[in-house]
Amino acid sequence: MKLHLTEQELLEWFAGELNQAKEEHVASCLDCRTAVARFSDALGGFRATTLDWAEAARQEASRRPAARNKRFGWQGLRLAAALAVLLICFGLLLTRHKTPVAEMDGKADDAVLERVDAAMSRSVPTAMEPLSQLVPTEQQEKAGRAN
Amino acid sequence: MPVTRTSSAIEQEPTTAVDFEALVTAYRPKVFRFAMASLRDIDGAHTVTQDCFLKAFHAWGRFRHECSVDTWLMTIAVNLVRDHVRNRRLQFWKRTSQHAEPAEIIERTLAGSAPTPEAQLILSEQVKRVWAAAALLPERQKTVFLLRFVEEMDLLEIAAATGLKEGTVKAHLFQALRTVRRRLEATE
Repeated sequence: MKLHLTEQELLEWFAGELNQAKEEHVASCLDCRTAVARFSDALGGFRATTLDWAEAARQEASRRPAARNKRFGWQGLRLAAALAVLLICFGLLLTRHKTPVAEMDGKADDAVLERVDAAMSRSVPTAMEPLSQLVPTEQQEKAGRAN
Repeated sequence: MPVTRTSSAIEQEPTTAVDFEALVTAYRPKVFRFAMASLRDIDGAHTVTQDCFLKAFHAWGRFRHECSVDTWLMTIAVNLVRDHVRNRRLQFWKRTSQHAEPAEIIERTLAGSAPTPEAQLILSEQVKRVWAAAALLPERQKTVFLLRFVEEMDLLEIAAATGLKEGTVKAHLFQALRTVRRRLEATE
């Protein structure tokens, strides 16, 4: 005499493979009936909660794009305003400091160029210039040292 | 032609854009539910649902009505979920589950479904354990398990939706049931 449904028979039951012998046994066996009812309830609860959970998520998903756009709109506006203020401040700073710096740089450049010109003109002899005029004599050197 | 038609009417021949809109309205909750239960990721489920109907729209001319629209859409959804899972495996930094513990919904949905508070508590715990066990099932077992116990599809419909043989579907279903049941028993 068969005492209880095997695990395989229980799995077949839950998968929907019923037959008269199994149904009669479950109807007459408290242990098997309890085992079947407990797992069936758990599966039924799983289904019910999955349906509710998925529906809640679907509603949330359908609300999300609008919320995202709204949030992005406000954030975008704030970001654009902050960027504009920063650009204006940066522009003002540049216009205040750029001219004097440029002028100073220009003057310094001119002075350097003049010094270079002078040095170049001293060191490069003209054509057929006498050597005595280029190389200082001993007397000239002594006079220079004395000065 | 009216936009709001019944599913059986849609099964006949939704050829126009208006008809397709009705098809989307009728089946969107089911496709989203399956994607959500499979992925447990609201953004992923949303993407899969949109892609499913986009693919269906483009492929509508090639649909031969060899199966129901329902099964055809679920076939597309099953493939998209599988692709999504594969892609997600590469994105190891992404949160794998945004709704991993829907404990509040479990408590709320099951409230009053058991005769005593103690029985209520036991049922809630068991349902939570089924949730946890289902999340850990291998991909194919999970797909078959969800199609059977959430969408209440029979083995032939699941075979059509997954492209598996009926015997293979049965094997996956039995293995999934065995795993879930043993996890319930192990924690009792």
